[in-house]
Amino acid sequence: MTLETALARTARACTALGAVALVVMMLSTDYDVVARALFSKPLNGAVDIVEMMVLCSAFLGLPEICLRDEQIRVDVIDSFLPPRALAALKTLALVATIVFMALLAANVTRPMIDSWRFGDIKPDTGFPTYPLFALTLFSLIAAMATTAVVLVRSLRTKPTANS
Amino acid sequence: MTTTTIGIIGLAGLVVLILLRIPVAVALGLVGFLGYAAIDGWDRANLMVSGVPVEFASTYTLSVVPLFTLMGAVAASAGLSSDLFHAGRVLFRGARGSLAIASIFASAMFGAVCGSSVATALTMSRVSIPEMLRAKYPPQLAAGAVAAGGTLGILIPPSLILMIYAIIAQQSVARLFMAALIPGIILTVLYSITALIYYRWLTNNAPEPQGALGPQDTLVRSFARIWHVILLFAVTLGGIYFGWFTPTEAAAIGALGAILLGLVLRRHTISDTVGCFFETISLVSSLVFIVIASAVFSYFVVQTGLSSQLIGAVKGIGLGAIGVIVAVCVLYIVMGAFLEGIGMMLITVPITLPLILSFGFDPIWFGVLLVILIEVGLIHPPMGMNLFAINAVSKEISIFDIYKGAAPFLIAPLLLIVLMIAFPQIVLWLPAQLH
Repeated sequence: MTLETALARTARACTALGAVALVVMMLSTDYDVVARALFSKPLNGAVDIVEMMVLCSAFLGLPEICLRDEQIRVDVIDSFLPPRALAALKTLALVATIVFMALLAANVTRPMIDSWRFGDIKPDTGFPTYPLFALTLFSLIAAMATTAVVLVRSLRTKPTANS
Repeated sequence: MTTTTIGIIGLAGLVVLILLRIPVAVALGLVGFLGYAAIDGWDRANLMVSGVPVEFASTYTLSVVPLFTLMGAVAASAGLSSDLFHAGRVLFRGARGSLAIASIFASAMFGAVCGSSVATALTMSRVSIPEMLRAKYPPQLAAGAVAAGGTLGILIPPSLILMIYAIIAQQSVARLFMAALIPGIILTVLYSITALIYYRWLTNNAPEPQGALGPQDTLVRSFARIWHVILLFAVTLGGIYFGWFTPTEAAAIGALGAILLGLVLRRHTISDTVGCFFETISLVSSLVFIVIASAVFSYFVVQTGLSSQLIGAVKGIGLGAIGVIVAVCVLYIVMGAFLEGIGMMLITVPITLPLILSFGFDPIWFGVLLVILIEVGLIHPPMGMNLFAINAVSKEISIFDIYKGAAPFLIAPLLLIVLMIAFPQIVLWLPAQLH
């Protein structure tokens, strides 16, 4: 198995985990509403669960989006540029993406360590918060890796009028 | 270098980077970080960035975005659009331009369960454009009606753009949804009137072609086929209005309801449902990444003090409230020609919202105005995303015909903006009635 295939599978697995987080978010909220309305017994920590799951579903999708190069961008310039210039801009965009993600990843490390050291927890469930920072860090690193795959792929491909 | 100069360079740099096809999130984040560092130093900039990803991606308000997006994805996968279009055809049977009006009606109904404009335009173009072309409708009318109808997807709640606005402007999602409802209905009517007039103009008032509807296609039967759409809309929006649910709870109930209805009515399979979850995760990740980057950019904009300087400058030249709102509208319409809607909103709101508030306008009212201005950008060239969506699906209509067809429909949102400025209660009355 090549590194590229391994990264593609990791990215897919991350998206699948994000989908699971979305299922948990939906079902826990639905259970909370029904249990509160019918039995006056709301789900303890429903807000905490939703907050944690929204973070999971948001970050775990990043590696696959980066692998497919599907970030939201304005491509109005594409039709005005020759293939070489367009390829150069695409490369620049990929490098900028890696730089920004590296910036975020480097800066998430400190609050993650602080959260672990001081034992920060979510208020209702008592769940420690450092795993949330760790998951964010992991997703950003995985997204950087998948962006690097796209970058290498684009550098190997010779620019053509259709690329 | 003054902070104002840094701010102006930052804004100009941001627009250039976005036009050079750097992803919107990356451009916002890098300019925000570098600009902040130029003003306050690297240490403070690093400290600012360190808290943003987890803090912004784990807010309860943000959860409405994935849940309502899931509901929309399931609705699109369940093929509701053809039933909605059929109901519209029966409702407007016999009227001139009835197919175009039915398409707008179906788009409005589809927008009530799907918060995306492009998704609405894509879905409706697959269903209604072939029918209109078969009935010998002018291609530009067919394209224009679908492009315009698609914009209703982001105005009629649940709206993805309104959810993002609620997060960055720290406004109530529930109030914004209620505020957009009446303008959404008015815009549907205005688009329908435009379609009627446009049909008469293009066909020299020709009679409506005989359609494929039979005597068995009654209004009751047609609406019986879309009861689940009406139910979903009534439960989610009704629940928010009557205070039974928070927007997140309404979204969770709507998403589960859409999945269960789709499975029970055999509109989609388990595997389709799983696909909807994956599709939602991809979209949500892109959006949340932009929201995180825009938070970094907002911190920079606050540091530059550009908003307060702009307010001072505008008050200095004696521009009144109406003058300011007209200038803001012109700015957004021009920007909409080049920038994508969410990006445009995230770049500008940190600067324009304080300006608008300083002139006594309501932030909820401004949110709805902003969505309508983004709608205009969706159907005017060269960046009209809905026009490209139609072009991708309906290859038989040239992009020039699509541009031409959408042009008359631009009058409707502009007229709605005038109405909203003259009568702000169109927007503000319903949220004031919230339980």
